[in-house]
Amino acid sequence: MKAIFFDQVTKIYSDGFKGKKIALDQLTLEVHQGEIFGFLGPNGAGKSTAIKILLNILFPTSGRAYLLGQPVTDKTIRRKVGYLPENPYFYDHLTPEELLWFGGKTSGLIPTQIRERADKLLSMVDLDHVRQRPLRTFSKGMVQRAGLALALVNDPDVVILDEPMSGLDPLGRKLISDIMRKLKEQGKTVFFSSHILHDVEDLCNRIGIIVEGLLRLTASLTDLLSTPPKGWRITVRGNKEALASQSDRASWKLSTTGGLTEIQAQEIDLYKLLEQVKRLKCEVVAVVPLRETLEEIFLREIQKAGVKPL
Amino acid sequence: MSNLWAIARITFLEGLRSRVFFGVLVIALLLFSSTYTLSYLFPRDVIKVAADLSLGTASFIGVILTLFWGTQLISKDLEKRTIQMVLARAVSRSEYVIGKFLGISLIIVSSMFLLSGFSSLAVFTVDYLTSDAYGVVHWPVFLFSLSMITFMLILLASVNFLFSSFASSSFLALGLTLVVYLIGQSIEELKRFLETGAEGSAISPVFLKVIKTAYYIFPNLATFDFKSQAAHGLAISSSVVVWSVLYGIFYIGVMIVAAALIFERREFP
Amino acid sequence: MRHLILLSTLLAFLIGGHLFTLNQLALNRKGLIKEQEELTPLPAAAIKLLALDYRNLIADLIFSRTMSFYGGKVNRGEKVDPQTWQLIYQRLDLASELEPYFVDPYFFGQAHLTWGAGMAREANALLERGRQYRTKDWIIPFFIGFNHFYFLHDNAQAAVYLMESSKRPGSSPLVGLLAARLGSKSGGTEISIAFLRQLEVQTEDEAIKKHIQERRMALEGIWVLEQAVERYRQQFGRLPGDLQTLLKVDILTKLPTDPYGGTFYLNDQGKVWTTSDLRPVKK
Repeated sequence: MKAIFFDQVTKIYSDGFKGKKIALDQLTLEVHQGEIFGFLGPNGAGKSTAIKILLNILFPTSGRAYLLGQPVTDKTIRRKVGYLPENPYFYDHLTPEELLWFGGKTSGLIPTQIRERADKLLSMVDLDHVRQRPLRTFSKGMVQRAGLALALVNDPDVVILDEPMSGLDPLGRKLISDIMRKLKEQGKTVFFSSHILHDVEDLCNRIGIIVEGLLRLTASLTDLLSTPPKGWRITVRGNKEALASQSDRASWKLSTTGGLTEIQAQEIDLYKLLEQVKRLKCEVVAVVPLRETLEEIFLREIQKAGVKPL
Repeated sequence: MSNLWAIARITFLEGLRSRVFFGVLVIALLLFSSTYTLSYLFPRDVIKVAADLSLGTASFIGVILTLFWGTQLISKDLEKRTIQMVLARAVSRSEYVIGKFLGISLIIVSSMFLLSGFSSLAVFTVDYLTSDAYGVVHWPVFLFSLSMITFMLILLASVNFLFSSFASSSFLALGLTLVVYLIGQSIEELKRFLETGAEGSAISPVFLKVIKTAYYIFPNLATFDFKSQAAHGLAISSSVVVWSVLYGIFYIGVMIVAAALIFERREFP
Repeated sequence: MRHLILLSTLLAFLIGGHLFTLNQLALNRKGLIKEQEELTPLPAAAIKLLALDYRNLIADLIFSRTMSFYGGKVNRGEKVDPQTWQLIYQRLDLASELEPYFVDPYFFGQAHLTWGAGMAREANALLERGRQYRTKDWIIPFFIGFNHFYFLHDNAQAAVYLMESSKRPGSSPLVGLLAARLGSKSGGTEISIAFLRQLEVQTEDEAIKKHIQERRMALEGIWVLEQAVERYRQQFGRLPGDLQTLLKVDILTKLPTDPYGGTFYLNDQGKVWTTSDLRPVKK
């Protein structure tokens, strides 16, 4: 059973005078159970739209979406789902405790269960000390953490996060990524959207790139990032003149800072390259494979779609 | 169902803790205390006037609060996107509508409870300080009148709910509800006035038809007005009460189910 | 979707219930409303104070409520007692004080306070305000003059007001004539008839118009008889014994009928009057 399944989901907005806007164009996407899936795209690509369709907050113009095998229109399936929206808005005057009570009650938990989960989650997101203070006194980061607690109160099998890192400081970001990793360890499925690629690289099993409503690419991250390198960047300490003459012959790119020289070579065979460096009697400090980074892949897809990156 | 109670409870808490609520209560207190002074501007029937004034104040403040909460808790829910917090849970659109309405009804009942207390206190004070020659307070009818005002406010809230479900702004929903309130209070009298044809004046039959149709569409709020009975201690016909309440329940039902229907198809981009 | 069908059926049922209960309610409330009909004294001072910039609206409300209250009473054939008339007058006065240019209270007062309640003085007090504010309105001083003549039997005052009325724009030329006639103190019945004719033309309300017509016809009958009696006196040097005598001597071919249902007769002082006393006789 797929955790999440978009089956040719299309969403078209008719904007009155401006005509139609295609937010999602035949989106077909699968997320497997137990994986972390990163849903990437520039602003306005349709990421939030797709997520809202999953939660039945928006209705698709055509096509269907499924959660854990059930159509998303079935409200009971949301008992097993947790959702954290981008910029969450909550009833301001509620306290985190009341918020979690609400989340638990609507997921069918009994009061003792709710209390247990609340205690655990509030300390996990470090809101224990303010658990009875109204949310309107919270900072943005605190509200986000409260939202995360709410998303997890029902111990969901699928966790959906819309731009979870946006607006958080490094501490907050670390908290979220730690939690996401822990969820994966527990066998949960995590589906999140982002445009901060660094976070994605560290966390995901698979990614999908969506631009202007069209899904351009889905791939396993390991596959993407373990393609054979196109070259190597070796940092060495050694004779500068010797390196310079060799670089002319082997079309290396050199850059020297202080005592260290960075060699950027298009040579694929690492051993051959190391031989060359060894012959020059240089000390090897660092070896980095040159591959297309996720950022480069991302930008490439955007350009293919004809969208100028902001 | 637990979903309904969950939604009702958070709606109730949210409404109760708003600062505007306390401000309005303070105004209510001021108005009630002025009941004492104003009553003596009237030569006869001091008690009747005191009852009139305190019931009038309770009703007036009640309408303000009902419109305020309708805006804050429903219209704003849609405007500020806080509704997504609720809909993302395992609740249906209809459960949202019913739960919210229950929450609003609860808060109306609670605040009317408070206002009834003030209202009764105001009248009691005047009664205590005035000789019985100027009239007595008919407490059962007085309290009954307050409960009917509460019921009327709940009906008004249901109208506001329906408007909020499709109006493009919270202000529009508020304005429409206010208009319905004004029409609802006068429609019965207007219809009667036109039907008896006072002064033998010729009323255009088209106009009469319009008013008759309006009578069926707009809520007849005058049926919940027992202020005269309370002020004069008149008897209340039980059949009128029964039909009034039944009518109110059906009207509320129509409003809420219509709102639920609209919500079932509503999206929140 | 199943949900929608369920909700729609429920809605249809509820609308049906709503219409049904409303009908039942309306039936039950018909009797109730009558009980609530009662005029209470209004705190004029307080209202004037608190009216703010809603004076006109409040004047409208007070007047329309009074008018519908009275209309209700008339429809049910109920008589209005003097205390209630006082309350009606008080409200008209308050409405006109809040908005002196508002013409309806003056017309209503003229139509009902005079004939129905016998409160010509109060009517004049009310109309006085209208006279002062509605300076381009000739009818109001005309009403005042009429009241002075017809109800208060003060021809001098009547003449004064009629003169003023004749000077205002739109006034009928008859008004000036009437004023002059009043000054001469003769022909009471004739003047009344002329007045009533003028009033009849002015009045739009059918019910009141009929009222005035009746009176005019009765007075015309009296006038015809008065003329005939005078002709007899000139011819025979004394008053006839009764009105039938006038027929016998061919001064009249037939006696006029009293629209109120009474019979005309000649009293001891030689004045023509009617058994109906100019009030509808019950058969």
